[in-house]
Amino acid sequence: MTRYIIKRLLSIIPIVLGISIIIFTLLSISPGNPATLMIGREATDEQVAVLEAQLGLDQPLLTQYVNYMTDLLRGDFGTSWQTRGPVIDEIAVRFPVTLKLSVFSTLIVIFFGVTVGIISAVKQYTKLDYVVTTSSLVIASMPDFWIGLMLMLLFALKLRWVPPYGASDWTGYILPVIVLSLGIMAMVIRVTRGTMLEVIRQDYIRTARAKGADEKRVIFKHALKNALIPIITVIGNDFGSILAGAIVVETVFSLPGMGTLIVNAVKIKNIPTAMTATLFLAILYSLVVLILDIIYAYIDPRIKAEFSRRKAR
Amino acid sequence: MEKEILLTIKNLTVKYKTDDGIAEAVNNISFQLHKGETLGLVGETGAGKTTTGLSILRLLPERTAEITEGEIIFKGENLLDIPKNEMSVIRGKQISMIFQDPMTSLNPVYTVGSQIEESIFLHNRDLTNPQIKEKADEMLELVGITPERRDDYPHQFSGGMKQRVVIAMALACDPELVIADEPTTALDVTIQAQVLRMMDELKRKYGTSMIMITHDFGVVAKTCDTVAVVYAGEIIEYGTVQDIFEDDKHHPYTTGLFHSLPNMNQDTERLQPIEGLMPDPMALPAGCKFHTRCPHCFDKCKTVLPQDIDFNGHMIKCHLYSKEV
Repeated sequence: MTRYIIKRLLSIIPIVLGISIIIFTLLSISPGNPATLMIGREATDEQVAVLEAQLGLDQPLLTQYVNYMTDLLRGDFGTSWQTRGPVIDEIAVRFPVTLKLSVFSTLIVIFFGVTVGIISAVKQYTKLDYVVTTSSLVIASMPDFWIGLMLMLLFALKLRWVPPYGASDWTGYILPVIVLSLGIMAMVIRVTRGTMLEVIRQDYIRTARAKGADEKRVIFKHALKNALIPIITVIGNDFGSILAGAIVVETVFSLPGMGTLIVNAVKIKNIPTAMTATLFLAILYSLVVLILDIIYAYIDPRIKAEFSRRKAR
Repeated sequence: MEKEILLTIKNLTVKYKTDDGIAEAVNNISFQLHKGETLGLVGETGAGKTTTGLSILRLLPERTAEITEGEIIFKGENLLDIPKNEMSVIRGKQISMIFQDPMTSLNPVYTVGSQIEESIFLHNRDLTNPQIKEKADEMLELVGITPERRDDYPHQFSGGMKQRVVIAMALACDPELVIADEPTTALDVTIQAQVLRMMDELKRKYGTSMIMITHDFGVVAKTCDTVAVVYAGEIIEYGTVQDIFEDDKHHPYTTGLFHSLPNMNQDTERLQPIEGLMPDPMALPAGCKFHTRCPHCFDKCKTVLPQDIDFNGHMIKCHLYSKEV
């Protein structure tokens, strides 16, 4: 098991390398000169040249990339071209906002998604089930930003229950969290329902009933644990969607999180900030997926057996 | 002395509603089971044997299956009148079931020990954990598995071992009736013999009654006291093992089944299978349901449903014998 974890941790290295190359290339070949963008339209050629030299933009792309990566390995996460301060300080300020947003959303997704999915499966083909499946399909089909704007219109502008933007206090998080969780929750409901229905038909569920287990025990002890693997996989993948969705939601609600940080950095071609912030999220996502894989092993003994077999080899 | 009757099934009729129509799986089946006896339900795949077994425990799929008629009287009480949520008190405690496929009938994410313990715990809430563990170990030993393996998961067991675990689970609460649904079909022949012998020993030791659902006359001969031959959801012949194996009067279907078995004492070149297939339960033929395949079929068979003809307890549902009585 330990060896497997170490192996998986090492596999994050090529992932980070790949992502860094892609982002760096995309940012560098996209039109616009960062130096010109930073100074503004009235910039003279000399000012631009001086700034380019300062930022290292006069060097070949490969050298720029290698310099950035070697700095990264030394623990220097780069200096923002916009604020001229260390990128890590920016992340330290912005990340808690995104973390709150994604953790609360994930918790809501897990709690309501799984619960409603189970209820829907147990009450298959009842009115309740039809309402749940139809509404979750409708919600899953609506784009985040549109739901966000509509909710903002209703609850922030019309009813004035919550502030329309910013995160000055916790009320500012209510709408963003709802928007971020709705679509993904709808997906989790559908997957949970489908998996539970499949598991409930298995022979061992009939065995559990034949033993004299009551319906509650059959569903929560025997069926749910078997259904958890696909559900957790979806939730794990959705954590990626939540991070990506956070970028949209933060923009819609003007929250000072990682999403707006990356979007703004990309807009003015602030390469160090964009690179470091994106890599930070990529590593975070890889770690979450790894943790999920370890959880699998604790739920399903057959997966654990596979780990130990690999270890023996 | 008349033996005590444990289970009486009267006119049981079960239908499955499917998208393609209504399947008449069990048609008017009646039988009795005495305490300590084993009844064999024999027949081809799809004859309605398993449906009969599941009806007793009320474990039929809820949405599609419906018991349209009949009574299942267990110790004087009609099980069909008991509220659904109270069946869990009877399941596992008084009546338990051994399923056909041991590969899929154990929950893959719990250890075999904990699954046996659950059976005990569910019906003995006053026992402490160590007592339950001790009883579970006892059950494992009884079915020939060392208790050290209690913490292993089902995927670490072979098919025969899994079936032993299933049997241990079914017998954990000393049930009065065990419904064994083709308990050895999924096992290879040597393991079959072991499992059957073990079940027989346990049955004798605890005085358990059993319904043995099988398509194998060998299993019937080894384990049963009485036999009911099921065809297209009906019992077409019923009698003691002696009646079925030694009497010369038989339903043509039973005769056909015996002809399709290899006989050690005779030098036969080929086995004689019964021509044709079992009728589609969604479109059962009128009259005798076997008439489409029966070598002795005459006009009456095609229109009139034959009644049971009683030869001192040996019942045959066939027009061939109606003249004799």
